[in-house]
Amino acid sequence: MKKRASQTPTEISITCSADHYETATGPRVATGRYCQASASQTPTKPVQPTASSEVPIDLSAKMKTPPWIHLSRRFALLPLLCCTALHAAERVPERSTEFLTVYCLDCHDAATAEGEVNLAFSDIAWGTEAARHHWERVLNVLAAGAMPPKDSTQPDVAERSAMLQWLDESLTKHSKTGGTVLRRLNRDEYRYSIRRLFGMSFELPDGFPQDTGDQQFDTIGDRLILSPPLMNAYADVASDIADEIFSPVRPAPVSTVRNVTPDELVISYSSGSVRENAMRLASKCSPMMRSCTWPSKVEITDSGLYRLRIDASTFRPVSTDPMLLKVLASDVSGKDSVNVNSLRLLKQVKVLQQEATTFEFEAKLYEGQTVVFHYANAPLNSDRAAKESLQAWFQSKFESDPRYLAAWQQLTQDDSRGGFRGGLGWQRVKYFMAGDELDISQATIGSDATKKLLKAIAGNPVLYTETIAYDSFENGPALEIHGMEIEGPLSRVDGPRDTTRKKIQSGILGADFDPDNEKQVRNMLTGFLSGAFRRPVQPEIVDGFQQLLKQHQAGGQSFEQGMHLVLRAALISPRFLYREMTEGPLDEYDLASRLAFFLTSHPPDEKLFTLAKQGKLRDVRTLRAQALRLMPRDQAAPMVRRFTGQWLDTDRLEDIMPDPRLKFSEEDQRRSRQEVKMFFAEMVKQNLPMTDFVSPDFTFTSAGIAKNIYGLNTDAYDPKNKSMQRVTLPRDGRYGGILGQAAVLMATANGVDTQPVVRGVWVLENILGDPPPPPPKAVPAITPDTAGAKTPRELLAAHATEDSCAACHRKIDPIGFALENFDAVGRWRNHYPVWSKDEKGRPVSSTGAIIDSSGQLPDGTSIADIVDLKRWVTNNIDQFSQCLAEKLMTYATGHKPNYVERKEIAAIVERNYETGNGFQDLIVALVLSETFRTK
Amino acid sequence: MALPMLESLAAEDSAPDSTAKRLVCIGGYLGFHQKSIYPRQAGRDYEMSPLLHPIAEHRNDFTIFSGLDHRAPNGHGAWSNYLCGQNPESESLDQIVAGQIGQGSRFPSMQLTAGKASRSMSFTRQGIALPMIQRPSVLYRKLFASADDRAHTEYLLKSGRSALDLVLADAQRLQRKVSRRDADKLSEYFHSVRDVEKRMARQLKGIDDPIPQTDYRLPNYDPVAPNLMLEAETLMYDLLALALQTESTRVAAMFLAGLGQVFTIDGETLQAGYHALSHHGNDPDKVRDLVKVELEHMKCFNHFLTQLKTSTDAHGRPLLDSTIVMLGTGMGDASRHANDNLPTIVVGGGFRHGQHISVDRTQPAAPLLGDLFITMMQKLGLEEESFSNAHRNLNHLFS
Repeated sequence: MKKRASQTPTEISITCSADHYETATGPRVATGRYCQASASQTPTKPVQPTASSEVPIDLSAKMKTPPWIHLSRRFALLPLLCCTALHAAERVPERSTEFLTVYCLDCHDAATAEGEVNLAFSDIAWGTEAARHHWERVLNVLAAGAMPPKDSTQPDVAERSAMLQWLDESLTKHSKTGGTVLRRLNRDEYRYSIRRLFGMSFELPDGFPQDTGDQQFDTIGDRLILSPPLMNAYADVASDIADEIFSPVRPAPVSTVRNVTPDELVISYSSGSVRENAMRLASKCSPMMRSCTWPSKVEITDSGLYRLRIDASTFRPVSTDPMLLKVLASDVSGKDSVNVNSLRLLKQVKVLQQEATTFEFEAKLYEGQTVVFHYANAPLNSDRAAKESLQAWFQSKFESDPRYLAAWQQLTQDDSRGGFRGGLGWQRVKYFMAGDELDISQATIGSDATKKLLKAIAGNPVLYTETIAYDSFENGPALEIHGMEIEGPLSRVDGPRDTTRKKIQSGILGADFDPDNEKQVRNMLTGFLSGAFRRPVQPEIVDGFQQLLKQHQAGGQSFEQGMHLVLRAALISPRFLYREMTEGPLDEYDLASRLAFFLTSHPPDEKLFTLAKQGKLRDVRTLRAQALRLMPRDQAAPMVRRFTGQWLDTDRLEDIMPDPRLKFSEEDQRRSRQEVKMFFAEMVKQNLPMTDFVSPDFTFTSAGIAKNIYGLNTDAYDPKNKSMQRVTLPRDGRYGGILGQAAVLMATANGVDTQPVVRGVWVLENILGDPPPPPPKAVPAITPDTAGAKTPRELLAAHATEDSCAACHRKIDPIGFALENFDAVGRWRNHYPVWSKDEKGRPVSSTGAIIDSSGQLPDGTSIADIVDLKRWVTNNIDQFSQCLAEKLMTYATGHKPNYVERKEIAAIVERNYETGNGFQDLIVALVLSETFRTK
Repeated sequence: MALPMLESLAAEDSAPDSTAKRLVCIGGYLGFHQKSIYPRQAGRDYEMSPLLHPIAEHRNDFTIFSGLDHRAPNGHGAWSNYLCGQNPESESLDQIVAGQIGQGSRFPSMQLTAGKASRSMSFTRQGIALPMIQRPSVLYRKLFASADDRAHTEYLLKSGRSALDLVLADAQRLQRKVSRRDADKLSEYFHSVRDVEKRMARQLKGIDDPIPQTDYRLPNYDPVAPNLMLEAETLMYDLLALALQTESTRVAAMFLAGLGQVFTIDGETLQAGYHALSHHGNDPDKVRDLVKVELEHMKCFNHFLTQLKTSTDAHGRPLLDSTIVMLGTGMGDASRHANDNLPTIVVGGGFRHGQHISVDRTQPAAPLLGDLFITMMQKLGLEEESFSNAHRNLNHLFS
């Protein structure tokens, strides 16, 4: 036995180096490296790819499913046998031994073990995962006809079938539905659990540990490690949350008077300027940081009523209307880019005098806030929506002085150094105006140069406002603030935090709660704990918490402090941090949790909890109805973001900075991720057929991406509308579907260039569910030929000539080449670009080598380009459906489906194909499966 | 600003030896204008560059390195490579060092930032980015807790232990009910809870330790407003010097942020925000203003060095002589978003200084920034032979 055990292979590989798949920003995608065979120095003539039509089992393009699915159709599912002696080895039947000896052992005996595959066993320990994994791969290559090699003796159909049947039976017998290990809540689930439990807004603090691990999804039990730093973080967060809800009593505040001088007011961008000991405001716009000023050293510590005294005046007003000064409140720790209109207005005062006037009023200021000043009717407005008024302002200034106009013309002509932002630009305008050589020949309102300038102003209102604001700071009109006094708190008031706190408290305690009434306390604890633990709690658990509370109070602490402690304990309990605890079929509550976390990323809501309590959730009709109720409806659903980001790797986009030469802005990146989410949500919501994942007749995109990346006719677009719009696409086009979406194409590249091998592997793994084994370690990676002398295809030629490479790369490379027409941001190209610089040093691209996207898929299908590849996938849609269904199941159950589970999924996929192939139907069917309902 | 007189708490150290005892890593988010920081000449007889002028008085106590980097990718996103080497989110230099020499002090390591931190700098072995303290008042309370603070901490720790006892008892009950595989999984929970217990015990024990006293006083506001960043930087350096002097910590990292704030320097308000200036495109006006901001950083840094030089350790030696201070960045040239050729200054720590060590990074065998880190770690008494992609050291150039 010992000897046998040591022979159990742990890894089968026809491998290639990890360098191939390595990436600058993540583990799965490559940097600028191409894969090359180790012994490729001697060029040899290409080996013809194996034509699978020669093998007994038909794999023609008409087939829609991967080989092993056919097995499940061919061989009726056998009743599952209970496997008692899990790790005991089972003798290989004679017939199978004979098959192995005749057809396999020449190369795969223990000594040769070609490709590190050893098949010389007289016993197999089916109970081990390694053995099942090993023999399942044998089954796959046999079924696919990939083995024995075509130049070796072939088994006849009956022999092959018998061998396959034995493997299928053995694997089925020894795989058991289920296998999820106890799962800790991941970051998102934890965050959403806190929010739902307390009904409060909550974000994880900076530095809260990441969910690490190399599995694709962050819902996988094995990956969700609980480490000491994480436990410490849980304890700290629990304490912070308890502080928020049952906060320690603070001493009564003392009223003070604070003085704010003009030089203590914040200047950000061109929001203000201190002149003659007054802060001058001249412009306005929506973001606070661009148009407001606020005291840099005032932060209210006690919510209360305060008395404000503000000294303000007008500076060279241009009309007799009063200048309107809005006094607002904002959070010191908040974002400075907050919209002014979202800030709380304390008072709007009318400033009319050129001498400083004191405006005194009382206002509520809350903990953590400061006072913000905003010139509400400033004539200068840099919001895009107000660009006409900005043009009018400039025009009136231009009309009054041709030299002024001429100086601005010169400033913008002379912008090669890009330095005219803010006061620097205004200094230059003044310098040009004073100069003798100022060219005023174009300085008329009607001249082309002026028209061009006015157009430029409308095109970049922020830039021009930032510069001309300095004119107003110097020459008016401006609103002046000479100082401020803040006195208080005159009295205490509830701030938003106090209000929220009281609301959450009453949510936990209930109405008319009496902390001295023991029965009420017990009911309260029972209710709170069952909410936190997502199931009813046994009396002994409640006892423990009640004791804790009681003893704490007995020690002289208040009830609130006791509850503070109860919260700190509950939030570090394993019953809160872990889910799915009972073996076998999930009970009502675990099922409620699995369903809720799968479809909503949240813990079960009240409705689910009630159904579980009534014992109804396991009823198929109820479960179906609940799945439909919780189905994600739009791109905002956390499940859509979380699943697509991890399945399609679009989460990586955050770390990719596209080469500026590719002209793909951050806005474009955001929009392209949104496209993936909206598309996925639409697939679910409309129950669209699975083929629409690959060849849909629609997508959602922004006008910018439609035009610049997809090359769509954008006549129908409103160019002003930056939001996403649904557009119709031709079904057989290059774009559309997950193989043509900018975000996916970007996620499978590195922001600069593309690697066909990386994309090929990615598609096999995530679209076709047929990942190649990891590459051998000995193969060095090579760098792409940036001079453009060689195409990736030429660099990868070794793949076809080296047998050890060809085994995998005949699957990988044709797919990668078909995607080569998409650059690193998904833009279509017919040639590789060759970059150089023009006389001004700006990058320009010229046409390099032509891209050859043709190839032959392993089943013999010739494809010319991406359109053909997409057609092949839709013709074989069950292979894609199976892949996606397995990904969804992995995400939902927290483990990769095993052999029997994949068979169940295959049956679901097949049935779904026959009944319209709707995506939502597929999700519902997965939820109703035994696999989903088993731990 | 004069430092208050303080008794060193590290009297138990034996005779002085040549190893360094403390490490401080400063990281500037937007880097430093290379032409203004690198001296034109290499070697000992270099002429002070404009950005080195503010620290010229320490000429014989620092070394400036040019041409070092981690061979890491470009962009703001790769900034965090600075202390991590070629792979971001791997254990950072300060954490490796803290693991070995930090344990004896109240805070094994400290992470600070001047300004709102937009990147992480220190990472644990598990790849967890450590949060940085932004408010000087928070750091102050950590270092010099008031009696009330200590009483509250003690209350939280003591009551927290009863909470731990409760959930542990329940977890044991649970462990008996679940499958073997899940029970194994739960052992992670028990292991982690024990660590929390240990931490609490350590903190509880520390409650009674003498807390250093200081007459240093912070302003009555926290400089969190964007344009008060330089003020925050000054305060953080002051508190960091106090933390080192009181042996509250031996390892610290500090991030120097860079946002869109418009600074007023010597009464003159600059013409553009800091970040915009860093994208200068070689416009001389923008470069001039950028260098003005960077000079302020160097003045703050100089003040910090002077504090370390004038305060002494238990043996009466200047603190700086046994403290390695590194000022560096993960961004070589912000204008191009390039992360190669990272300006790096190393001060103190008992090294022989006074040089500009210029590395020709185009040579195949050119040393890496990681090689310098190895030399620094060895000086700190660590037996490290490699760091990230570096496997040599710079001992032949710098010791």
